[in-house]
Amino acid sequence: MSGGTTLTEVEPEALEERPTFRARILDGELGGYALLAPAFLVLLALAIWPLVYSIGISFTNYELAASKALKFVGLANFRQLANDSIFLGSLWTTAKYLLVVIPAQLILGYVCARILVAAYGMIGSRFLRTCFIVPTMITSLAVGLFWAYMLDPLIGVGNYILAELHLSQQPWLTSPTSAFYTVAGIYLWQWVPFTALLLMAGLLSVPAQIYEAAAIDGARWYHRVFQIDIPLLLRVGAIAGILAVIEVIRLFDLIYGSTQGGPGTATLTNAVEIYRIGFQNFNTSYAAATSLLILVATILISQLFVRALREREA
Amino acid sequence: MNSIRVWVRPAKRTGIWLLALLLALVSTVPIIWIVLTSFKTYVQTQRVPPVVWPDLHHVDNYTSQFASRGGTIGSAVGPLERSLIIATVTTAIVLALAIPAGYALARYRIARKRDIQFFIISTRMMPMIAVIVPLSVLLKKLSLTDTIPGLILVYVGINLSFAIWLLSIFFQSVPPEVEQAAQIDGHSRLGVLWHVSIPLARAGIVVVAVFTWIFAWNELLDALVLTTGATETLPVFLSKFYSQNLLPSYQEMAAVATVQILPAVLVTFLAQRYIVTGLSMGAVSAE
Repeated sequence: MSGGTTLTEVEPEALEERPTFRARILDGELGGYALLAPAFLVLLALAIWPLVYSIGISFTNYELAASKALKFVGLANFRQLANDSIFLGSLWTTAKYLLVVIPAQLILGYVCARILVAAYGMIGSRFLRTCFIVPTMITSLAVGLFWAYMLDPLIGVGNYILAELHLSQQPWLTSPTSAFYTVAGIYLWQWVPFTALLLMAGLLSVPAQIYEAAAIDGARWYHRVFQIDIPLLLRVGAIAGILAVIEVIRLFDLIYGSTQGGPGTATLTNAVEIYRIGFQNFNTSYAAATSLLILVATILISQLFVRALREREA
Repeated sequence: MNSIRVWVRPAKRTGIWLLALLLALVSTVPIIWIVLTSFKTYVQTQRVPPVVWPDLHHVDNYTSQFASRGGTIGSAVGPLERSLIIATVTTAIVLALAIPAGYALARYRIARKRDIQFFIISTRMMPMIAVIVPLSVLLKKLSLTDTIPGLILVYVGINLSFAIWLLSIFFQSVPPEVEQAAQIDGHSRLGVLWHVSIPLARAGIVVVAVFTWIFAWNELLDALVLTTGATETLPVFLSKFYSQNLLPSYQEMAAVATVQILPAVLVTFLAQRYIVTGLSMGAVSAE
């Protein structure tokens, strides 16, 4: 960027006669590469190298904290993984979260998006929209911490409101089954606004004439939803879906702040379990092996969405 | 869109507006509750029915947590300062790297451009938990474990791909004629980037800055793994309220959480226009 200011001080005629070395590199054909290179190298070092390294150490007995001799152990870490009932359980917990949360997030996101579109342009609607998106912008750790306080079975405001409404008290985060769904609910509170904003943008880009034509044809609301909105939102919806999958797979902060995986292992997602293996038990190579599995799973699931997207477009 | 809106009857309009208000309230009331909790005394946090409106002059929870000696888990002043520095420096470095790279992808002829774009996007798909193990090894090799530069390096790596991707979209939307005109006026290509393209793509730059800053300000997992004691960030400090609360001090947790949340909320409101356009643009034009 600072190169830009100095270059403009050079007279254009002078530049044509005898291009400086910098001008040749930055203005010429090689310019694109020169501008791209620093970022590219940083990404290579911080994204690709760790990945390759991760594959490497997953076949060893490496431990970050210990200084014992590094040994090649073949598939031992992966064999251990196949018999590790806690880790396999954590995989199942994350899978259950994906199954419960992703459809709910997309459906609720769509309903909220419809409300936002209907209110678009009304007085104060931008302010209301900004209020709505606030949960997505704050740290999930704080979200977990303060919901755990509000849903405390004894002193929490949640059960107080239920009592006032003459509804039965809930154990919220303190019993295994209800903890699982309570965490899902808190997650949705934080992330549905994000999905809704994405879908709102998608809805706003649909030409108004389509809805006008449908209205003239006497289309009912369900025609509009299933025959216009859903087909036209498929692209944005798939992207929202991929982002939601990534978000659920890395579900960590929220749980770290609310249940830390408990009660028992009811909310022990695999991000929390890998953290425990790698950084509380310091079993680095085993953590690398488990995280590779997560990476492969993420790639496969997002490929499903991409495929669905491509088939529709073809 | 607005042409249909005109037909909608006033009663229905009010209903829709109330629904939008309801969404806003569902999102904000829990946060307001926590801000109110930060002004309560320990006894008030334990009371049923709950105390709704505490004495707002009672700022003991703030003064105890943000005093130099600090509360039961130490002072939050150091973590607060470090988080501010880390978020700001990360944002500056990401912009310095992503602006040229995004511009190059938008405007220069580059061999295998689609492959490079795919590579950049794919790095974003990686769940953090999958690369945190090797990253912690990398930082140890570079002797950057437990340092502020080490954490900044990791945050730059995480945010860079999204930044390049979004900025290249914004640079593409700058009309090429404007850039050509500036070139004819005697600007070098870099001069065009600096004097024409960057000002015209400033919405994208604001979006990237906002999202990068908030990410680095909020991030927990990496900070938990890569920092301790003298280098811990505000989220790491806040996380200690979970494990150390044999006698939960929710009012102190609420005070630290309020300080943690406040900048993100402020930025969201200040940059509201950019956040919605940024999100939607990123999503709608994504491949």
